[in-house]
Amino acid sequence: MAAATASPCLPRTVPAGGYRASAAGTVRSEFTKIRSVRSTYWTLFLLVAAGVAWSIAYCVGEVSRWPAMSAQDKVGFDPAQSSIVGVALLGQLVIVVLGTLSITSEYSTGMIRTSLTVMPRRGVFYGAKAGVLAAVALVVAFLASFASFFIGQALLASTHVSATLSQPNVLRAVIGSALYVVLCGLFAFGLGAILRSTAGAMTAAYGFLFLVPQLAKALPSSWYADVDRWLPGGDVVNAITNTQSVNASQHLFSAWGEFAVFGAYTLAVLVAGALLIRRRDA
Amino acid sequence: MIEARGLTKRYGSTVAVDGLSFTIRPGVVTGFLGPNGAGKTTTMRLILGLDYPSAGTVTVNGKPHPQSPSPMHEVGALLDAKAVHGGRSAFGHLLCLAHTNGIPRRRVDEVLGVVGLSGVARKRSKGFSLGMRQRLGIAAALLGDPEILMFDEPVNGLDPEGILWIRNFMKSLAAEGRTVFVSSHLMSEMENTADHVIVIGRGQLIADCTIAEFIARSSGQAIRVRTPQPDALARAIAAAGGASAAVSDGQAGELEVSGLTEERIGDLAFAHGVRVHHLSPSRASLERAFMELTAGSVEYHAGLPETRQPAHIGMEN
Repeated sequence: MAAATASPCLPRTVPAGGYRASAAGTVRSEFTKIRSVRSTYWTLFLLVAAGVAWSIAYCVGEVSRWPAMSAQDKVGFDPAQSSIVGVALLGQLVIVVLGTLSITSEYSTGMIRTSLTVMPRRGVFYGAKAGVLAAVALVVAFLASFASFFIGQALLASTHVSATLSQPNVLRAVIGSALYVVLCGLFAFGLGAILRSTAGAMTAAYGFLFLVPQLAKALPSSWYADVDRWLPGGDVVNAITNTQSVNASQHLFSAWGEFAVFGAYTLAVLVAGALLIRRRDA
Repeated sequence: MIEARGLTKRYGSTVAVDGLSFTIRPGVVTGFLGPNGAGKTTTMRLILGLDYPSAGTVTVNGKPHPQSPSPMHEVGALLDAKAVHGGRSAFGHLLCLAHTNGIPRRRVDEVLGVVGLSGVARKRSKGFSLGMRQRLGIAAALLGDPEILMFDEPVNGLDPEGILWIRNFMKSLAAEGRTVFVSSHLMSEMENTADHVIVIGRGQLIADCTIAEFIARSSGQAIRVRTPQPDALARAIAAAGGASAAVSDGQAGELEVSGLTEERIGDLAFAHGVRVHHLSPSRASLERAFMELTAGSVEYHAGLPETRQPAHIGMEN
C-alpha cells in the first residue's frame, strides 16, 4: 500500500490566527451532518409525500361523497382541514424519526465523543443541532403544508367550497400545521437528548403524542374536558387545522392556545435535554 | 503539555481513576500502559473533558480542554475508531468536524492524503475495514494540526503493515515537537514506540519513567545465551555471582542469565574458553517486567492456579 511508505510528515498549515471553534462553524457542521446522511433525505421526502398523498386521497374522497352529503354535513365541511391535516398527522410520525436520530445517532455511533472533543462547549453544540433540525424541518414542513393545501383545493374545486388562504383561519391552519411538525421534531430531539437511545426516545415521543391522549379518554368525561386541553398530542392537531368555528371543540383552548401548550412541553423537554447534556459524562 | 493532579473518577462504588498525577511533555511519545480495565480510556476521556472528574484536575496547555478557544488545534484525539456515523462518507465525516473549528475544505483533502484514504474519500465509512477506520480516526485527529495527539489503543486489530505505519507516524509527529500520548495494554508495543511510559493499574500510578529506566528498574533483566558448552558456562556464571537457568522452551544449550550484564557474561565466557553463539537481552523481559508490575492490579485474572505475585522492585506507586 502506498500510504505505508509515503512520508508520514504532516504539513503544517495552520493560519496565523489559528483555527477557532465557533457557534457559526458548529451550525455549519451540524448542517453538513444532517445533509450528509441518506436517512435525512428519505424522511424529508416521506414528510412531503405523506402530506400530499393524504391530501389527494382525502379530497378525492370528499369530492365523490359530496353529492350525497347532507346539508348539515356540508355546512361543517372544512376544505382547508381536509387538505392539510395529513401534514400534521402523518408528518409528526415522520419528523419524530428525524428529530430523534439527529441526536441519538451521535450516541449510538459514539460520534458524540468526537463531536464534543472538537466543540467542547456543549451548549453551543446542542443549540446548533436543535437549530439546524428546526430550520430544515421548517422549510420542508412549509413545503409539505402549502403543497398539500393547494393540491387539495384544486381537487375540491368541483364542490365550489374550496378554501383560499384569505379566508378566516385558513392561513393559520396551513402555517400552524407546518409549525406543529417542527415542534414535534424538536420534542423528539429533546427526548433523544434526555434518553440517549433511539428506541427509547421514539417510544416516548409516540407515547406522549398518541398514547397519552388516548389513555386520557378513559378518564370520567368531566375530568377529561379539563385535562384534554393540557395534553401535548392528539387534539392539538385538531385545534390547529380546524378552520370552521362550528366544529371547534369547546373544551380546548384556541388554535394558538393549544399550540402554545405543546410549545411549552417542547421547550421543557429541550431545556431538560440541554441541562443533562451539559451535566452528564458524554 | 498535559498535567493531571490528583485526578480521580468514581462510577458509583467503582474507582476507575484513583488520584493520578502526571505530566506529559512535548516532543516525545509517551506510552500509557496498563492492563485492560486499568483506567486508561477513562483518563483520556477526563483529559478531553468528556467525563467530569470526581476529584482533582487535568489541564491541557494550562487550562481545561473545554475552555480552549481552538480545541482541534490544541488536541487531536482518536479514542474509538468505530465511533463514526457509518452512513457518512470519509470526506463528509471529516468536513463535519472541520467546520466546527473553521478548518478549510482543502485541509480535509490534505489529511485524507496523509493517511492514504484519498481513494475512498467519497465512500460511506460503514464499508471500511478496521484498519481504514483507524486511518480515518487519525485523519480526524490531525485535522486541526494539533500540538497534542492522543491515541487510545491505536494498533488494536491492525495488520503488521498498519502497525508499522502508525508506529512510524507517531514517532515522526513527536519529532515535529508535538506531544504524543498513546495507550496500550502491550508493553512490547511501547518498547518500539515510546520514549517515556506512564504505567497504571486499577486507576493508580505504578510507574512514570523513561523506557530505559523502566527496564533498569524492573526485576533484573534476563540475558539469553546460546552455547555448545552450557554446563561450563553455568558454572562460571554461578561462580561470578549470577543466576542462570536452562531455557526449557528454547533449543538445547540455551541459558537465561540474570544478575549479570551482557558484557560480563561475554568476558566470563572468554575467560573460561567457552564458545558463545548467541548473546542478547531476552525479548520477553520487558513484557515480563510489565506483567510483574501490574500483576497485583489486573482487574480480571484468569483462574490459573499459579497466580503471579507482584514484584517488589522499589518503584513508587
